[in-house]
Amino acid sequence: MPAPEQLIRFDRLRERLLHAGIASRHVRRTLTELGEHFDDAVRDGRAKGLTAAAAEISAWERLGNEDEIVQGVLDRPELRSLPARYPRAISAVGPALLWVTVTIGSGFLVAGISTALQMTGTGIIPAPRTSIEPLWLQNLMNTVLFVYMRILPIAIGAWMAAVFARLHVRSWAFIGAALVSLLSAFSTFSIVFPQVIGEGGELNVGFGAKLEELPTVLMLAAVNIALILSAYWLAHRRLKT
Amino acid sequence: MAPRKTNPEFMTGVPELLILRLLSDREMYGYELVQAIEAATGEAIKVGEGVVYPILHALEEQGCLTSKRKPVNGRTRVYYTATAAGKKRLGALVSEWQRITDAVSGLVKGAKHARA
Repeated sequence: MPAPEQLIRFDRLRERLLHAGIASRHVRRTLTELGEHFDDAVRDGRAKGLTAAAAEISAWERLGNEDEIVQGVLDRPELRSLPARYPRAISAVGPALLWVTVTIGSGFLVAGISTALQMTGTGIIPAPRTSIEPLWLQNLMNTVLFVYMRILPIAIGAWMAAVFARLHVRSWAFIGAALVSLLSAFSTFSIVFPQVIGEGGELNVGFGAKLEELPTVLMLAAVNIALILSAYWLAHRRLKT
Repeated sequence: MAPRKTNPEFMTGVPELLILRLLSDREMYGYELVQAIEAATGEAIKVGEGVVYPILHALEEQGCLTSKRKPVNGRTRVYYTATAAGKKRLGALVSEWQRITDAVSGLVKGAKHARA
């Protein structure tokens, strides 16, 4: 198990690297390998007759000081995360783009799986249709739709806002939050299930709002923005402490 | 006392060359590589050992190295080895290094002759 001193130093190093925009997978990897290197150096020191404390001091000296290691990582742009390389573009359009991609992508995925199942004769909904969808299935699909349309944009926006809190691109993160909130609030997506056997169902996708719906839609967008920015504020506060 | 470090400005690019050179011969893990650098250069080149990892990771991102975790004596270690692209890169770095050292040698010799 790593010594408390090692944990403190590596925690500080982790925070500095993440704060500087290094991709988390590279931070994790760097710290793992540095920890293994440190263990090897301590073992070597002990083999040379040093006390445990002296071997640790020697191992830290060999590893180099924290500034040197941080600078060594920062000198390598390949190790920076995509948001750190293009912070403005990604913080502004990233949340909206990610939400649209995930929503459309999973729609295609479900349609693909369903088609494949029907083609292999193991369709969940047999063709030709012999019954209408049971109520539980209708409720489940409406719940999934609600998650995609109302929860997912906030979750994606909040997650990206927390990522960007480290990079100090506040104004662009606000634009990103506003974009994904407006886009999701103005988007409509609904399923009309057939009520009679032989009747077709409907899948409605749209964008926009009627004049009388405008206050509700804008209110929804405002709530989304507020929730996303709360996540940004919490992440920012956590980083400060 | 902390070991004397080589001038970092002068050393830019040199660790990369040494790493690619050593990993072209055989695969090594980070700690082993640092020791190999010191042994190969007669300890003339000493850098903070921690800075070898960002170089390794960056070279891997560029496709010059590949890595794999292997169990050795009850522990696992990340072994690195140079790819074909890494060997090509090494060739370019060696040529560049040769060009610079020839130029500097010529200048130093010229200064000696001028003094004599």
